[in-house]
Amino acid sequence: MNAGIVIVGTPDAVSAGLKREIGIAGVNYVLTRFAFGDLTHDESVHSLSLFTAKVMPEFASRPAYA
Amino acid sequence: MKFGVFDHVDRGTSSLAELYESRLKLAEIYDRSGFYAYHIAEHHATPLGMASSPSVFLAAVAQRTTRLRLGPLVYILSLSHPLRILEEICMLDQMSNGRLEVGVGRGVSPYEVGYFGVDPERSSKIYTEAYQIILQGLQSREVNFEGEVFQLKNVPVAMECVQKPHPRSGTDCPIPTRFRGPRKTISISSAMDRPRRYARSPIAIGRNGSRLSDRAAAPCRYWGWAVIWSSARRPRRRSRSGSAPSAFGTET
Repeated sequence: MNAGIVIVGTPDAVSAGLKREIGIAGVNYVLTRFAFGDLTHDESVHSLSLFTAKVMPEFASRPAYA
Repeated sequence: MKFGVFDHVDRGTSSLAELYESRLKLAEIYDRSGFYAYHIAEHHATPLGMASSPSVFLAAVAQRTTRLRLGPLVYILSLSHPLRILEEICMLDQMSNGRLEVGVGRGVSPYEVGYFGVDPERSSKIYTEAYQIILQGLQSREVNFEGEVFQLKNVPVAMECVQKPHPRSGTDCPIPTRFRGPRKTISISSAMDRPRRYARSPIAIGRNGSRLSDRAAAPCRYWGWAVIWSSARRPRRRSRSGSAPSAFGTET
């Protein structure tokens, strides 16, 4: 997690981690994972809901260059 | 900023039927939540990947979604005949009404290609020829190819894609043979043989979600995680983009 390879935590923590990594890499497309390992379907849906409601809007105004 | 989803569709603890159904339900949410694309890895004979045929899985996703783009990431070209991949590309692009986002690779795991009897040392050669055959087939009604691995003569192409001249992912670009990185020039094969050195993630999605106006950037989509790596390292090239090897899980 310290290396930024995995970003996990509250919506605020994920937003901050994403901004940090995006700033370093200069990318405009980020791939995410919400379902892996032994996560249950409900857990994945919960993470996904938080991400779409509270994290994605933080990046809506950033140019996508596309 | 665009967001997509990358998924190995790994085994998990539920039954296989439940696993697939869960992933398809999640895809419906990706579709209506504004994600750009759903990318699926191809793995074989390992719990790491239960979508060993990306086409089969994505055909189901296509029927559950309306705007989400579908991305095999990647089709392992050393394990299927290129005519088969060509036809599956056409089918999926048609069945999704032009939402296919193609990615191809040679097959990075020597164990997995080994199970199929493919010499890992030869997979780059197979990959290079197969890619050229697919590219040709997507743009013509007939395939002719004379290579070390494949010899095809007057093979009719009976199908076509919705996306013209072919699905997104840089198939309109010439196949580059060398890329200039930040420190030195690396060949495609060396980059592929040493992924840990040249890339943090074998992501073939290129610098954009495929709408980048800079056509010169297009080769990255297919060939390019080595290039993504180098361009990502190049500061202040704001017209470039790439993909990040990130995974997220959020908590309350």
